[in-house]
Amino acid sequence: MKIGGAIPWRRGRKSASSALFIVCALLWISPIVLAALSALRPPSEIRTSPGHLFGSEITIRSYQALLETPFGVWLANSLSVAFTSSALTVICALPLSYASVVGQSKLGRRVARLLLLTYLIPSTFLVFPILFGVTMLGLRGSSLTMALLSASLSVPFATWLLQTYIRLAPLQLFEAADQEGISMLPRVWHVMIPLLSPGVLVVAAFAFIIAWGEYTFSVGVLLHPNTYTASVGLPHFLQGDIWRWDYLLAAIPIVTAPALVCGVVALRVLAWLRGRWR
Amino acid sequence: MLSVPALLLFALTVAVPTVTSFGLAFTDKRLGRSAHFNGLDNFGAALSEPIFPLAVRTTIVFSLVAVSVKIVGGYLMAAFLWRIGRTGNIASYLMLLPWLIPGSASALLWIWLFYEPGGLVDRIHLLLLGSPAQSNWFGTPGLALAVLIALNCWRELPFWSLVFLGSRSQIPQQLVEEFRSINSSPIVLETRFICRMLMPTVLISTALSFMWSVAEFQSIHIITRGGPSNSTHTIGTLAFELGYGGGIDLGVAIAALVLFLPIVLTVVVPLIEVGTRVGRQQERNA
Repeated sequence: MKIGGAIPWRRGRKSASSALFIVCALLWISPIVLAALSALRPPSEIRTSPGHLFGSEITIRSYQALLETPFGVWLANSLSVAFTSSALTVICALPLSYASVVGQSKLGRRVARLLLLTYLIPSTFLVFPILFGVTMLGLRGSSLTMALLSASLSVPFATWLLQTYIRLAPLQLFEAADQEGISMLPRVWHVMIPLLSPGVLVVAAFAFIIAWGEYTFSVGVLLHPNTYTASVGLPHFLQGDIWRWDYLLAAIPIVTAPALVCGVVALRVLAWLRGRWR
Repeated sequence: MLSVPALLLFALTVAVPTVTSFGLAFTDKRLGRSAHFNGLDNFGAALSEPIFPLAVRTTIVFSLVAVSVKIVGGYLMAAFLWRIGRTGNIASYLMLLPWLIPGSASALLWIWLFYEPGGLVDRIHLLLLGSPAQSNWFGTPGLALAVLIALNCWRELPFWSLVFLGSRSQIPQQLVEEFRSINSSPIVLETRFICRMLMPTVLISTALSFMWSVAEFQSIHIITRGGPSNSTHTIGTLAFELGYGGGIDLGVAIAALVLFLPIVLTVVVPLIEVGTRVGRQQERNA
């Protein structure tokens, strides 16, 4: 998939520039990679000399030690919140985008635009009253609360993405199937769902990433250590008298992995779509 | 009907809290106590808060510097990627990694980098220059803010470069070729033609980036908590301290945020206005 390059650089110059860029990109993400590397040392060595990359031996004991901390619970909470938030985002964004584009609903279009106001209001402004509401309703510490709050952050952009997607998707195939005399359920299953799946996948992946990294609301809503998500729990490794670098450095790649997977999925699907609809 | 779930979510999580927030700014609400109207007392208290002017200044410095680096850097990176074509894509996706990982993870990672003594930067300094860095990165006022700005740019710059790259690839190839046939200089192509075409995207992206930078909370909260000597307190972290710290005075905390809003709006609104206007004009000309 060619993306531009109107200026015909000579092949050699292009390859050299690409190679340089790849090196720069690797340098850019090096802190993450180096942290994962640094964690392959004995835990005691990591604690005493955190900045070293190589130790007396290569071992996964730090990763194993991590399992003895509440990190596993935090990870499970994060996964639960993120998946729920993804589902909620699709449930809210898909009908709205469909209505505003296919249904040509004026109200739908207005609501979609109104939703974008969310990004103009800093979350620190919303934190206090949201915490009040949550405390009054006794919903503090609930995964569903966190999922709803995270979904509210992804729904506006998700709606915009799906609107663009639905506008470009060949939904006339759905109408054509109707004219062929195919009934509703098989039509939805065999035509509509495959047509909408790529867009929904991108939106779900995006919502997952947002929920996975959410911190501002989580810090207020999740009080009990058992309810922490990974995002909120990680800073606790560097609190108190002894900083547990061994736990932190081992946790970094584990916390990176799901976000990386979602990012790759979303970007691959987007690239595939751009290629198909060029 | 189909709009109901989204509308309900928006009402519950954004609309109602925003209105409540504004209302709370005029009361003496504290956690566990009921609220009583107290006029503009909170605004007075926020203004006379000794750290308030410093926090305003820090927020503006942080946002202006960070946004400039992110938008200009993102634009240049997109221009470069556009010229080298396909191969750039994989590497540019890789660079999204700092943005994809949780903000708290990236903040903690940078604590590891700049930990004094013995962090990775210290080690590299020792290796390359023979002596440890001996800079108290998070304990020196100016340095701490610089590191926080660098962290913010590290996370967000590649995101904007991909946004700009996406916009660039929307420019029809034949228009570019037409312009090149008139004037083959790549610099003129960039400044006279492509820059103009991308202007709506750049302006709106700048507005959005500014909003996000002003609202930056987690990295500062995790790394310095506003220190050293309150030099890294932004309006967001200050309000958090006022609301949850020793004061627990929510009315004052929100008043502080509200007072800062005009400054944000003076930057954001013109950017969005001009951006959408230029965008609409381009659509009409196309």
